[in-house]
Amino acid sequence: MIGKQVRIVLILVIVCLVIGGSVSYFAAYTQPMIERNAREALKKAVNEVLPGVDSFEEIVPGDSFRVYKGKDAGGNTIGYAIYRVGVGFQDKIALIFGVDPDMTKIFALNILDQKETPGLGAKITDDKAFLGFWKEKSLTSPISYAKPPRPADALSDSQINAISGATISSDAVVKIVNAAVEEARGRIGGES
Amino acid sequence: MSKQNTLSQEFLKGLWKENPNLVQLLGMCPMLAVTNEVVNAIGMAGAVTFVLLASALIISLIRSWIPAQVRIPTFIVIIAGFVTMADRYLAAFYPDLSKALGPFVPLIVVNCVILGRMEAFASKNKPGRSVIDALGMSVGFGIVLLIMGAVRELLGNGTILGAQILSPNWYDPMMVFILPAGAFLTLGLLIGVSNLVQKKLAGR
Amino acid sequence: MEYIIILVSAILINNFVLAQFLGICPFLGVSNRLSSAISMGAAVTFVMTLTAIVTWPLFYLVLAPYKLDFLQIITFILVIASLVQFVEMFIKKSSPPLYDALGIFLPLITTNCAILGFALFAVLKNYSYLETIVFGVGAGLGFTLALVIMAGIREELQFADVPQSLRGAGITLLVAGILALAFMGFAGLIR
Repeated sequence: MIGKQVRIVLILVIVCLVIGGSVSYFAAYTQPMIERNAREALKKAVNEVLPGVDSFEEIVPGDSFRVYKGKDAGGNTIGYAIYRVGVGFQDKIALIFGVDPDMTKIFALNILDQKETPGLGAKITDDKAFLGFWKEKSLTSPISYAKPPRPADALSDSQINAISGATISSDAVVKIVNAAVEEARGRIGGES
Repeated sequence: MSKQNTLSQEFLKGLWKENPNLVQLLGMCPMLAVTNEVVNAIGMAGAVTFVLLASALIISLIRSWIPAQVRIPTFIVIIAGFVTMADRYLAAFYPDLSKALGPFVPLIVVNCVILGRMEAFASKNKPGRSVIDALGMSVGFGIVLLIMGAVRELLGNGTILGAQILSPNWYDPMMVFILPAGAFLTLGLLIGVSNLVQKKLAGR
Repeated sequence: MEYIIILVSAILINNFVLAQFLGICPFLGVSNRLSSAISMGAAVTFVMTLTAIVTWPLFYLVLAPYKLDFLQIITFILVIASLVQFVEMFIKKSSPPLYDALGIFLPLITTNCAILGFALFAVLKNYSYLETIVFGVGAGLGFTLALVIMAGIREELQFADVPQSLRGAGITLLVAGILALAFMGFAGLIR
């Protein structure tokens, strides 16, 4: 009787150890690759929003808000890449955008993750026109969006065009950016 | 004792007569979740195939040593181990696919297809047969995944594997197919059609 | 306030069944009777809450500090399987009529992807302990809601003339599709 129970436990333990061992080994093997993938993805994102960046470091760590300081090859600070996660229409939106060292203008914006409605709100990720509006926008006043869309030269320095049919998602992006800028100014305001 | 199937019969039954999705109605969750694009369907099919084959092989090999009372937890641990490996493999080598499939790769561990096959077959048959059974089920599962993926991506986006098939010039994509609702509708119709065909074939 | 958002999100906006595709197997199998739908929903909500209570400390106090997060799949499913086992034994001893009512649903909950899916999501979203528990309750309620609505519809459908090949899973899925479309209307509720 006891022997049978011991046997059962023994088998279970052996199976767990063998599985646990093999999985751990495989996990350790893949860990560096996974970390490298994450680093590459981040590097790509920062490169896209901070033109000319050569290296960057995280100066404000966090889960839903991070700031990276970007330097060019000569070691000069060329700006910051600000990462923020905020509420969108369907779920959370994660984005990153590059600003100059005095935070007076946005270089470019990139949407990293979203679960908006496919074909509508989801356009914020790859609609080139939408993303294009963010380039070189001034931050002297909060960003706002124009709806219905206006021709590019009719937009103010701090205005972008919302995507038709995706107003709420566009608005969400604007809100996230404004909040991020405010928080960044508060955290690293005087620094350069 | 009933007559044993030939090896090819073991394989083929997974494709049609005992197709895990259309007939046994198992493994629905991934069917609906990752078929919005063909590339995701392929990724999921690959992951499931790996886990099914590996689990079937191992469980079939050690089947005589597993006490009956604890067979389910043992199966689960073994399956979970392979699922973890598949998940890590994708995260390391195919990060975009891994992100797209999201939590549905880990969810393979509760995919009733796998546990079902272990319980119904691999734990009672020799490794050779078990692997063939697993292969048949995987292919059957994969085919349905591919069909769903192709229909949804084509009708919902006009593309297959990202390549434009139905030009937006004359075809306005029916967005609904990419949405959850479209998944339900497509699968429902697919099951209906397969039932119809099965009935017709049986009636002959 | 944040908790209300989590609840509303899990029940309506990102309904576990109709938007996240979790728990489809019981959704198809158990939604033909209103009474079984309610029983299954209650059982799932209960197990989900328990899972939240156990897996959060397991992940954040045991796995993460030792860099063992990759073991979450294996450990979570074992925890869930054991929890379901204990719940089953407990109910069997303490309330046989309840046990009879729930019947075979309890063991089925182990393979319910909604439970494991919930545990994995909660970790992904980085919720605090209390947030995870609220999320569990919400997810369970959302699951129950979808099941109950479907059961109500299916009980009516019994009197309708459904084509032979669509009976059972086919028509259920089509109805689910329409339900999913309807639930899409809840998007934007939390702004």
